[in-house]
Amino acid sequence: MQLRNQLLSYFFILILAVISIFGWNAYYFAYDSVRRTEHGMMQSQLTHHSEMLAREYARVKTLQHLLNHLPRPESGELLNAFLVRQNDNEPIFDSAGILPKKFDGIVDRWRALDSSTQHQGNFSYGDDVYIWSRAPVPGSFYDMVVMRKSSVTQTAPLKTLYSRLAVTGLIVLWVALWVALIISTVVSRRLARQQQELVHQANHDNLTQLPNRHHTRQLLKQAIKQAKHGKATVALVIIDLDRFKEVNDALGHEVGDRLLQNIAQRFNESMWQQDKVTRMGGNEFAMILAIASEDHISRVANKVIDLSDVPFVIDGTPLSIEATLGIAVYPRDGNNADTLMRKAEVAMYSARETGQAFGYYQPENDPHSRERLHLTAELRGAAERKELLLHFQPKMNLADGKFIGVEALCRWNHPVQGLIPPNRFIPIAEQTGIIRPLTNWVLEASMRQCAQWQRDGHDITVSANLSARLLHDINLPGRVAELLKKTGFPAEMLELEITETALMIDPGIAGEVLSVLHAMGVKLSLDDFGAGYMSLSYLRQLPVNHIKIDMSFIRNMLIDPGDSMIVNTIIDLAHNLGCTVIAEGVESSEVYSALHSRGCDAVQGYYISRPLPAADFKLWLQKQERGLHPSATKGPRAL
Amino acid sequence: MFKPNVGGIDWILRAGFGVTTTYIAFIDDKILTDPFARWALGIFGFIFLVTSIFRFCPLYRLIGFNSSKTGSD
Repeated sequence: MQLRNQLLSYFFILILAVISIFGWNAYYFAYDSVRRTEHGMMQSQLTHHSEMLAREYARVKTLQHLLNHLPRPESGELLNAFLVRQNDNEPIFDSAGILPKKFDGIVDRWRALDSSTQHQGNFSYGDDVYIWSRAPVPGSFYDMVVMRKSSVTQTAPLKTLYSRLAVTGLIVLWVALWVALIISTVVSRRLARQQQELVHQANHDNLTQLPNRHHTRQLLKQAIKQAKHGKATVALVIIDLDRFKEVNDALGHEVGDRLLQNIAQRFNESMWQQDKVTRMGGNEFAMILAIASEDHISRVANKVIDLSDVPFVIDGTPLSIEATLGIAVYPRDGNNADTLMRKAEVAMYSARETGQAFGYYQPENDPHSRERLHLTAELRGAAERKELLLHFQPKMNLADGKFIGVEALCRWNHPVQGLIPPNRFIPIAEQTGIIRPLTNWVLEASMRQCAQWQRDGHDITVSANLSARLLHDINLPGRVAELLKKTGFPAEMLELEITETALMIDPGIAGEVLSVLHAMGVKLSLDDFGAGYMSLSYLRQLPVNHIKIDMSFIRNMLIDPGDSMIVNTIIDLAHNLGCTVIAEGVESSEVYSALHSRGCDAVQGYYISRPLPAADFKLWLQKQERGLHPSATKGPRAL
Repeated sequence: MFKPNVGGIDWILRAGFGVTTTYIAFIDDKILTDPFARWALGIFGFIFLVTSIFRFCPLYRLIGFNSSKTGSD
């Protein structure tokens, strides 16, 4: 619109200029022609009268006679004639009223001009223009001058011309303005359309025509701005398609692109109108829920999951994808677009890690949340500041009720927050790489402690947990060997606990690391068995000595027949593979007896003892050796 | 029939111009004496008068302009 106004004003100025030049030319052409006609007429009158006066002067050579024969002024026309002496240019009037009184000033005005050297001309006096002509009266010393008021301003043809010029000028101006208006509208519309296309291209993804990441940020900003006024909530849902890469690799990018288009279309068509579907790039989509109640968010999340569950048929091939959703909500999780985008992504990654289809943002899962950053910084120096300590949880043989060893568990005694449970700081350590020195510390401290107890006369095997990251570190066996040497602890008494999930990240390297450890004499035990998804053929090849049944099965084995059946199966499976079975999370004598009757080898849990600090454990061990029932030492159920 | 698209000051100017020009062209014979100029002005002014009576300008519709407050294209 601004462009159109600009174009219009240029046109307007141009048209006005053209009309002005044209009008000015036409006016002066008309004016000149009228003036020339008047002068011509006056000249012929003058010639006629001067010849007549010459004849009269030849007859009677007096000035008075000449004056008597001057033409009389005709009424209305204001034609006046007078004589001028040639030597001094002095006008000579007849005193008998030839000239009206008002004519005196006009003649004075005429005299003021350079009238002695010219033969004709015009001058203005008052509001009028006067024209004059001058010619000598042959045979005398006098010139004759005729003078009249110019009729240029009153001439009818000129007046007609003016009125036509004005009216046609007006019409031309009007027509030209409309032409300009239409042209400028067409031009500006075309430009606006082109500009709109460019903006659309910059803001939308070419493949799916959905808003791109850049535009998503803008839309989110707008939604937040609106929500601020109405105190509403805005949710950003980030959708990651988990199996998309497989499709791309197996069937090519063209099929992958068409799959993305189909997904975009399905999402877009099935969503509520006020919710905006966008594409963040790659296999990541997003949704902005402008008015986001908890109900609506979960409805949308479930809908997305349902939609992605239905296979997409491309070229007759059904392709299924899995969507993982991360949700961040304004104002709870952040008050600007960038924060929400980052946090929704964090939520998506942590949902994927925990195997959920969707998850809300939780600060404790965020590697960059303030609390975690603090904890990370503090965790780095925790070992040096002696804030880390070990707790030991005993394991008991079911067959004879004898103590067989301990699991060393790391605790962090934070100077401000007190005892921090491992589930809060171990994930941080794993994500930041602190897990390496931390595991080193745990191994060394537990070996040193057990070596001490050994010297005191207690043969204790100790087990420590190994994180996924370390399991894929080929230098691990070397470091373990070093620690064994340093602490003087025998390798056969050390047991490393690994989880199925950690093993399956890269079974090749993990298997290699485990073989070396096994060759060194270190015992290996498979932790949380049954909760992951390990291949049995892989399990068969692993040099594992013990299998620990995940506590989730043990806890409910007496009430849930399914869990009970799984426990039985794992016990049989472990025995068939030549492993001993340890049940974790044993909390009652009923479970203890049930496991005993099913042939489980060993147990660990609150029923035996909670994890104890070194000093308390030694007391527990002494009582144990004196033959007291394990449950007598059961402590409070706090980790 | 036609959605009005002339209103406000636009309507007032059109009506004023239309009335003045038709008066000069067809009623008063002293201001303009030339018949050609009178007819030309008369037809021209008549257009303004008609568009102000119907409050509708076809050219506005063509360029998508609207000076009326009651609605927009």
